[in-house]
Amino acid sequence: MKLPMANRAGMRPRKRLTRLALGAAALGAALLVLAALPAGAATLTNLSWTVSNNQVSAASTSYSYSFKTTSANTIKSITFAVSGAGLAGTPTITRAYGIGAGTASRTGQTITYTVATAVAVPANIPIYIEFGGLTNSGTAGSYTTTITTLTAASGTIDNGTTPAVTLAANNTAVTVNLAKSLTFTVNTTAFELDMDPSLGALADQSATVGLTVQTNANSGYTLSVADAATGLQSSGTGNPVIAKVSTGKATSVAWPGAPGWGYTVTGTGATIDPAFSGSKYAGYTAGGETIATRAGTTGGTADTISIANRVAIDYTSPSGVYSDTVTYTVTPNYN
Amino acid sequence: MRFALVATVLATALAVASSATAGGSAKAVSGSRALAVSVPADPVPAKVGGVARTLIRVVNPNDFAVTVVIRSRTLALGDDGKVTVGSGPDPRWAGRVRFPGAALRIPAQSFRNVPLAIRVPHLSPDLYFVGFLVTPVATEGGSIKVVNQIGSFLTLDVPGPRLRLLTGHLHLPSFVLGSRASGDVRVTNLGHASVTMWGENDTTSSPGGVYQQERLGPSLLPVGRSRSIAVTGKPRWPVGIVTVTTRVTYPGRTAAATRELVLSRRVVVVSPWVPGAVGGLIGLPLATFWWRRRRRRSWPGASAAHHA
Repeated sequence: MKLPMANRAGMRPRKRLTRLALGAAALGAALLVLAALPAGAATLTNLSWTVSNNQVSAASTSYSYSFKTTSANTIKSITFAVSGAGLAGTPTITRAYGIGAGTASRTGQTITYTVATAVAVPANIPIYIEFGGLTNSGTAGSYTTTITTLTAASGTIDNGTTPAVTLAANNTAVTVNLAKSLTFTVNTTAFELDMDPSLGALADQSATVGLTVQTNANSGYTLSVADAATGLQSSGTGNPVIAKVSTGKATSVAWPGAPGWGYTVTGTGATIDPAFSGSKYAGYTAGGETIATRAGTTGGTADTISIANRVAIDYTSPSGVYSDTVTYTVTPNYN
Repeated sequence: MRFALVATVLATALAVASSATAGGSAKAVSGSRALAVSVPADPVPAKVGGVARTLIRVVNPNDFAVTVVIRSRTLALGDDGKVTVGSGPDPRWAGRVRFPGAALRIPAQSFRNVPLAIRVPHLSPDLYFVGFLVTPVATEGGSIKVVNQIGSFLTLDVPGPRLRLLTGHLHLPSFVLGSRASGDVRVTNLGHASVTMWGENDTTSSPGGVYQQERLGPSLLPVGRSRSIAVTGKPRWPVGIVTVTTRVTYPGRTAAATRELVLSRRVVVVSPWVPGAVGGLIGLPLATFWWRRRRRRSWPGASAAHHA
């Protein structure tokens, strides 16, 4: 039987629509399956795992992991499944970079870092997480960790396995405790100025004290200076003093001339207080004032700081022996 | 210092002669002196009501013996890690830590380990600092004595959950005429315990920029103190939008969880030569047009021909 031509023509668009709908549904389903399948997960790159102590059963051990993401996605948690058995301890988070704040927990051989708020992480982002407070397995052998990044729905984003770490019972654990140290040197512990008001060269003299500071403190150090409360004072009748050129560094001045007692600071490595820029001089204070700082470790080269102590006298200065004690205090900063 | 204010001409002459030989400079009456002090790098665990045992090391690198005294001192912790040693003993540790009462003689190129037993009072979980000062005993002559002393401190860690809270501000301009955006993050500890924080500066730029992660190592922030962290970002092209995101991470109540402070800002960065280049691109055709027009007008032949 032949169908009328008009009817066949009318059915063609309906068939096409049905085929299109079926095709779209199949494509959608395939995409959904692909997205949900762990087999579709990409492999993390640049994986590494280090342990702070590779003795079996060692407590308070840190595990440090680093890797790079391969897929751009929103990470809610990262699992670190250590091979074998016997992992123990309550993990703490010592450091985490490339990922948001979170919490650490352990169940059996798996340490889980759960991000507080799921964070969108692009591809090729370096992530570093260091856990503390772990106890190694009691069984010697070679171990690996499988790292898996997960979505909020626990779908695998990327995963990968670290190179092996060997836990051993017959090796020697080496622990080196490096103290926080500071060395402070002064090139002269006492000096004299033989002065005379009758000649300019003898009436205005300087003595330079050289200091060096070397430290491994990460936040550097603070150097301050103070003198005796009595200042530059004579033991003669009336205890005359040579006046300070200023009341402190806040009122530092260009050298004002005689009579005066003051200092200025220059240096390399350290940051010298700007009060001394332009060769300005300040008077010492009994309470002490910071004259130089450094914000980081000095490394192998010591900082050098030069303090030019200057005294100028005239005939208003009573003769006699004047004395003072200048104390330099250097303190490592906290970090 | 000695003022030889002589009354006689002879004495004056002698002083002048003396200065001539000395070049008019000061006379150092003693040589150099070095001193070093070392303390444990990490906080010493301290249980409330217990005794924390640690030591400080005083090193004498000189070729001669040095005598030092060690005394308790108050500490003032400032912003950005700065420490100032006070002038008196710290009352908090009075009777709880005993520094050597007598001066210590340290032989040449040697050191002394000074053991300390610190009785820990009832304190809330936090870090505590025991300050001290190591002062060499000045024995030299000379009227101006120079003392190089070292202040330092031991850190005690009283364990337990803590109330930590950081706040911060990112100081970056919205627009920079230059090659890079530079500013700083000021982080302040508003909590009730010291915080060891770490973090990262993440920068991206548009168009075409590459993500860059600069990691910030751990640093301590005592209660009420602030610390500045320099931040910088550079666009890939002479003109770009740089997004600087600073993440400061720190432990929560316990070390099993962290909290974070995220500060972000977009900065439009324009290289200084761009306005000049744009000006040149616009100005050159205009100048050429103006010059041609002026030349055409000032050429009588052309003008005449035109009018004809």
